[in-house]
Amino acid sequence: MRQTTLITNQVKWWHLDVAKLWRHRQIVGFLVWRDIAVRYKQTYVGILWVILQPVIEMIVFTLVFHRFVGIRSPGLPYPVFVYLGLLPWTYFTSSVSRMMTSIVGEKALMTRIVFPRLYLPLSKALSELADFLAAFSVLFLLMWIYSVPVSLQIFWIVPLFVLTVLVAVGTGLLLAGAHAIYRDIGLIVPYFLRIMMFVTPVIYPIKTVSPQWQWLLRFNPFTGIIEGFRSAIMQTAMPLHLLADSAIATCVLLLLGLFVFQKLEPRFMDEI
Amino acid sequence: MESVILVEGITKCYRSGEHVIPPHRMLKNEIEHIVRRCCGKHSAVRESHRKFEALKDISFSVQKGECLGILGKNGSGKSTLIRIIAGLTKPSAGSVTVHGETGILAGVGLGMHPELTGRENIYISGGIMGLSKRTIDERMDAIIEFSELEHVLATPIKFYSNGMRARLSFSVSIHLDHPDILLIDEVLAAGDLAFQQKCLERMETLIKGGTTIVLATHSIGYLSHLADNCIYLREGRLAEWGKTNIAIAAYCRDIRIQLPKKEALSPVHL
Repeated sequence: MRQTTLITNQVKWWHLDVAKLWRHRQIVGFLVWRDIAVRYKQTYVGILWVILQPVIEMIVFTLVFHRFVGIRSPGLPYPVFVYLGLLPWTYFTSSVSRMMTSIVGEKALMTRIVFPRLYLPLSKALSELADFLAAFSVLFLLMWIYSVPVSLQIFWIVPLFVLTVLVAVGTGLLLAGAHAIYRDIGLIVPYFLRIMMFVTPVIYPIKTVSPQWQWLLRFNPFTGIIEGFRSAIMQTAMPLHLLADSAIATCVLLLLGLFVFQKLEPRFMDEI
Repeated sequence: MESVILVEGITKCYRSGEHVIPPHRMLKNEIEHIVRRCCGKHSAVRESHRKFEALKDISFSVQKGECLGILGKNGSGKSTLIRIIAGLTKPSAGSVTVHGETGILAGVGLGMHPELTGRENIYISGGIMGLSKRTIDERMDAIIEFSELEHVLATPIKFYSNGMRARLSFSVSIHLDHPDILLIDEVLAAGDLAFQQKCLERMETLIKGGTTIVLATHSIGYLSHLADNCIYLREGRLAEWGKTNIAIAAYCRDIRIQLPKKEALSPVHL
């Protein structure tokens, strides 16, 4: 039997058409592939940029915060320490920024093709994975240079990274939906992300923060994730209580992001 | 006969005037509104914008296997109507009932990227418009042959001429899967005469195969050739719904052009 569709102005307060998501799933692969294929076209060093960006950042941070300011990192050489913080943080900021503008940036597709709009921001989060994996491979090089031993505990990085992706997806969906309606979001978020880095233990270990301020960091889902990344390499005990906080925050962010995005979705067509 | 598209009293409002984005949708006013509502005060910023009716109380139906043309000047609501039937945007009032799977052809070469090569763009565009990688692989030879661009397929399309880019995009669009109901929004007018002829043949094949087509175009030649019936939209209102020649006559009377003689009405002339 053929399908019958009824189109009216009724908007269900919650609509997530799983059948439609499944029917159009092939578009995700093409969007991700285009994103990756295009990124380093017409650059001189090409794909090398994927590795150069985090490495340059690592060198600058080591110079400024370790040599000049004198931040110590017990248990790990500072370059490895800061690189472990930069890996998930860079993935988070770049995918969130790209997810945010994904709806407005694809106006031609939005007004001409029927597909689940959810796939536009999701494909950005996926294409950023390629950069993350490339940057991740440099970690092993650094560990070899600084003779940091590898243990089985390194496999903790897999669930930790899944958590990172989920935080990014939740935040990205929230911002993508909001940005399509309120362009203010696009002006605030870059500043917000920059400020956020200072309340995230990327450049300093959480232990250097005095106990009266540590509660502030616990609101940040990245505190647990970054401390977890470091424990996985340092072979110290996993900060499980921090990770539990992160997991709860992640679930809340994901549901909130999905809800806001789906709620605003019917308005995208007429307002972007 | 069974009607596959039933449009009942469709109205679509947009905002117009200086505040196309209405004041209450600006973040500042939205926050103010929420604060006022919490304080129990009524906010005056709501409903202060003007409304513009892109479509007003449109009703018609399309039978299975019919080709329905949509006529009207620029801004008369043709694209909006097509988008509502496709489910891309919601009507402000009224309803559309669609039996069967719809496909929309509202632009060609969607998703193409200037930095990618011709061949890569065939994949991207085909994939974004709904084909799987395997289907594109199967149709690749046919697409390349149709485009007559085999010699430049490994070149990024930013180096193509406009005509070459158009040919590449058209070739992909013409090899898409065609659903039960095909909605076409003015994509045929572009392209050279030979290409228009190919499109026409393609559509005749589709109609013979039982596909229902809704076709919005300015080309009276196409419509008189293909469409069984037409609707004519005048400033968002349904001015005429009936046999193609009657609707075309009403349209031509409005825009004050002489209707060419019957035999002159071939798609290549208009």
